[in-house]
This record gives sequence, C-alpha cells and structure tokens, in this order.
Amino acid sequence: MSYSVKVNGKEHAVSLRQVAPGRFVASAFGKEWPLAVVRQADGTLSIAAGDDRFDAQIDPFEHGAFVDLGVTKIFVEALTLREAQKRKLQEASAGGAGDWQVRSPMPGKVVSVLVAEGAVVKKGQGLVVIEAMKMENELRAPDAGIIKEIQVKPGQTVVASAVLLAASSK
Amino acid sequence: MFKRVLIANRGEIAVRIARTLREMGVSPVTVCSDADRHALHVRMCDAAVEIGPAPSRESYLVTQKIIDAAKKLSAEAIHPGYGFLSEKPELAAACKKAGIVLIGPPEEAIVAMGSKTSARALMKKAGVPVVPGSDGAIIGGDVEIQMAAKKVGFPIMIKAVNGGGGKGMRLVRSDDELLSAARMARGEAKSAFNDDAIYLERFIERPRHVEIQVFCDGHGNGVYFGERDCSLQRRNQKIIEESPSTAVDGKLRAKMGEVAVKGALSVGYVGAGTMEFLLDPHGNFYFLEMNTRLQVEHPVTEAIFGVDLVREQVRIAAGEKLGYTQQDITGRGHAIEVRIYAEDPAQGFMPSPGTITHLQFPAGPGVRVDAGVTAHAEVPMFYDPMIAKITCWAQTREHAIARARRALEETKVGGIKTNIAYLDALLAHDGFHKGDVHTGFIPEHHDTLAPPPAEIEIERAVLAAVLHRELDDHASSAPSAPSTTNDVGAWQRAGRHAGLLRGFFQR
Repeated sequence: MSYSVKVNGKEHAVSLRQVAPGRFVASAFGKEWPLAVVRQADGTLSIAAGDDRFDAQIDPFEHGAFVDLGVTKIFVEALTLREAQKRKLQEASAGGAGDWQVRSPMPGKVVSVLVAEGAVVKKGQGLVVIEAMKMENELRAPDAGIIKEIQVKPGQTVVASAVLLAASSK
Repeated sequence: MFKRVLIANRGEIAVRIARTLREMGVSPVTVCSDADRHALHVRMCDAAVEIGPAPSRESYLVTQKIIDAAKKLSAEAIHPGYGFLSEKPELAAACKKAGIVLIGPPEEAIVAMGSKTSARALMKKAGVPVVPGSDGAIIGGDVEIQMAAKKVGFPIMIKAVNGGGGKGMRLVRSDDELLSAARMARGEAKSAFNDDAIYLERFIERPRHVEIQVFCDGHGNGVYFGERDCSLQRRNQKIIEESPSTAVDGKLRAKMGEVAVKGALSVGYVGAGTMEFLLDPHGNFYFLEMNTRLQVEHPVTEAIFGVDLVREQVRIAAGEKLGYTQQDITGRGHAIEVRIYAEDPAQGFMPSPGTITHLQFPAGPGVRVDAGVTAHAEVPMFYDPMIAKITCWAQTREHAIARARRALEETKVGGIKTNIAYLDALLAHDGFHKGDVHTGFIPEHHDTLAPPPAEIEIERAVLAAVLHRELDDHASSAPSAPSTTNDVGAWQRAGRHAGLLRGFFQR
C-alpha cells in the first residue's frame, strides 16, 4: 500500500510491502527499510527498522495520530493516496478564503466574551476567555477580520473544539 | 496516635498522604466530589464521603462538608494536603470547634501568614528581609492601582492577597499593560480563591526562587530541612524543583535557615511550613511568602534528608516533640522533581483534560513517582492540571539530571497532551546544566526549549504511523505479544489490571 504522510508541514511518499507476518519492506526517504513489528498487549508497537529498534505508542487524533517515541511526541497524518487526493479536493472547495473561526482548544467554561458581533478586530486581539483547570486562557484572533457570529455566552460550558465565534475577512 | 485521619484533598497528594498513614497504622479516610468517585485517592482509603458536585467551590472548598465527613467517619484529625482549604483559617477554626485536630499550624499562624501583606509586615518586624511593595491590598479602582504602581516603581508584580500557586499573578513592565493585567489578576484570584484583592510588589530582576523547609513542634522547637530551588517556573507555576540549590552554600543555607525558623516561631508556627525567598545574584534574599502547609515539591527534601515530612506532620499534630535538633539534620546527594501537567506546550500550554488511554510510569534506582491517576482514568477539567510528580535522587547533580531524563523517557501518557518533552528540553538545556537559573529562565529560553524533532525521530514516526495503519487495516497479519487486550476474557483482564495496580501501589 502507498501512503502520503504529512509531518511538520512536509509530505513524504511511503510505500509499504508485506514480506511475511509482521515483516515489511518500506520505501521512504529515498531508501529501503526492512521492518519488523510486534504489537504489545497495551497497543504499543515495538519496531525494528534495520538495526534501529524503538517503541511507538500511537494515539489517534482528528485526521492523524500522535506518535509517542519516548520523550518526543510527533503529530503524523498517514493517508492512503486515495484519501490524500480526496482531502485536496475538499480543501480546494472549502469556504471563502480568509474567513476564520475560533474554537475552544479544550473543554472549559466561558469566563467572558471580549468583543461584540460586528466588531472589527486586529490580528492577535483577545476575543474570548476560557477557564479550565483553574487557569484562564485568552483566545486571540488568528487574523484581522469582522466578527460575524458569537455562539457562546459567559458562564457557558463548552466541549473541546466547539466553535466560539466566526469572523469574515472584511 | 490517631486511629483514623481524614484526607481533605484529591489527586496525587491525597494518595501520598494515605500511604504514610497506612505505614503508621492509621486508617486513611477521605472525601470525593461527583467527578472523583472512581479516583485513585478514594481507592487508597478505607472510606470516602461524597461531598457534592465536581466544581471545587461546591465540594472540596466547603469547610462544613469536610467537618461533617470527618465526624461521620469518626476521624480524629484532618490532613488538608495543599491547595483547597489547606491555608484557610476557617478550616482550622471549624476543626477546633468540632474537637478535631487539624494537621497543620494553629489558626492564628495561618491568619498571620495567609494574607501576604500582613505576613510581609510581620516578617519585617521579626527581622526577615522583604521586597519593596504597596504595603497592603489596593483599595479602589484603576486610579488607585496606577498611583500605587507609581510609588512602587516598574517592573511590578501584581499578586492576589489570598493567592498561591501562581494564580492571580501578573508581571507588568510598563504603565500601558498595568490595568489589563490587574483585571486578569483579579479575575483569576476571584475564581481561584473567591477573593479579588490584589497588591503590588517591585519585581527583582533575575532572582532565584529559593525556599526553606521549616518544621516546628508545639513546644517551641524549630528546625529547617535545607532549601529547594524552584526557579524554573512558567507563568509563576513551578515545574522543576531541586535541592540543594546551585546558588546556596553552607554559609548562606545556615543564614537563610535560621532567619526562616525565627520568622516561623515568631508567629507561633507548628508543623511543616515553607518560607519562600527571592535570592538575587549577589546572595541577598527577600521574604516572598510563607506556605502554611505541605508543599507540592516536598519529595525533593524527603529524598535529600531521608525524612517523611507527612509522618512528621502527623506526629507533631498528635502532640509529640521533634526529638532532634538542627545538628542531627544532614542532607545527602542531589534531588530533582519534575511536574507532569496535562497541558499542550504546542498550543500555548492550554490545559488538556480528557481520558488517559495509556499510562506507564518510570521505575528503577533513585526514582519516585507520586501520581493521582491510573490508566483509563479521566483527568477532569475542574481541577489542577498536574497529574504526577517524578522525583529523582542521585549522588551528584549531573547524575540526578541524567536520571530524571531517563525517567521521563520511560514515562508514557497517552490520550491527553502533556509537558513531558518540554521538561526534557529544560533538563537538557545548557543553562540548566551550568546551574545558571532564575525565575525568568523559561521565558528567556522559550524559543530553544521546543526544538523541532530530529530527522531520525521524523523517520521513526512516519514508519510507525504507516505500520499502524497497515496493521489496523489487516489485523490478522500482525503478530502480537503473548496476549492482546482484544482476545482475553474479562476475568483475565481484571486480573492483569489488579497485578498492575499492585505494582503501582507498592512503589
């Protein structure tokens, strides 16, 4: 199977061929990798890539997964070529360029909304204050724009990635 | 000695206290909110009273519910841990009224030290050096804040009068940041401590945060257990602590220790307390505040001095004498504690509550783990984001750092984001190795603390992600370790889980 793997903003083409149970040959980063893999009882993958042996714990998140390699955790999106093509088409047809939304990065409580609908905001301006785990976090405008719609009120509890407000770029 | 003690707390500290009580032959009992019925601290105790809804203002912060729980379970004493009610004089007063012993200082000492402004005045009087400040809470609005700021002089630190743990604190470098920072500080103070009173203090440039662990019995004896250097802080929240401090020699330690004990005894202090100081690059130190409770980072001191501070607290609360003097106390080796937080360094350290899907803690020589969570546990959004502390001891500082990095590498927390990689970057930092730290170390080096992953790590991650997809799509083609969670029965799973817990509890 061939994959398009996105990591740190870069795409890598990887093709993987099974040669025996738990044994593969990968073609990636301009070379061939003999791979042996065992899935541990807790889901961790123990992998030998040539002489390099390592453990990876994989945590699916949104369209990809966090790969925990010990200290470092890296977000990786591994898509089959078909999935990657579909994604590109979707992205091309998505909404008006420059419009943006602010989503809550975590479950929490809305402490205050610092702007009103119709307000013209600058990039980096504070928009909503969310409290979670005893900390107040100010969410800022990712870009300049006009606030179109505010979807939350102070005191309201929100789930992670809930849309708090939407804006248009002028 | 007490037969039964109520732990009025949750998370890792409740678990830690329960362990010592168990060792002392004292039955640990506790309380829990609706969000914590399955929590580890409840499972470590002999009984638990449910005290209401998840928000701490409706459960862990309600004094009467704690007193009622202690009465219901016939506990003779209450250990408040840190945070929550631990520094509230109301709890001390209510305990006294109910005939229950508070494992902590007397009400008067909590009052004296609880308000930072009165503590400052008292310590100044007792001969403890203090930092210039607004001398009291600011009464009034924006105008009064601006006037007070002018008098103190920038840079200024805004602090909550009844605060702690960095909540409600803001550094202000110039006049134009002042009012918005004051507003944020008041908001945080209100939500964390239900009191929005703030005061101002001159900010000392490049200071270290060095604190002295003091211990007094109720018979007029006091000692100190060295210092802890807690200079590595992010937004005034400590994340790495160590002892001894690279900036404190025997002479300075004795000077700071003696002043600290004198200050504590001057307010009739009993039990474990921490005198926090700012230490400037010239060896001058200034009283910051006193924490009238057990400190989060107390394991660092326990590692160096071979003392169980909770055991000492319980003994002293039961009326016993210290039984040793300053000459009997000698430290050995070096200890470092790292705090693991459920937060996302990549997104401005946003809290990351959620379900822990996978959990592995380190073990081996010189490693201690204090955790309040287990695998598959929920980290609720209502409480502090700290989920575990790892304390490493070794003969030398270099070895302790290497050991802490090894321990972090063994630590795996899945399902939520954590600061583990960030902690490792700090431990690896050249400035930290040189011991050249100050409370602004993290903001100063922020850009170099989140380095992009190395090429080999990218390669490994890509190969792992692809293998993961391949195995998921053709499940049968993957050889598994002897048993997988997919094909074992419920009994076998339960048995294995219990085995894991046994290992965990015994550590």
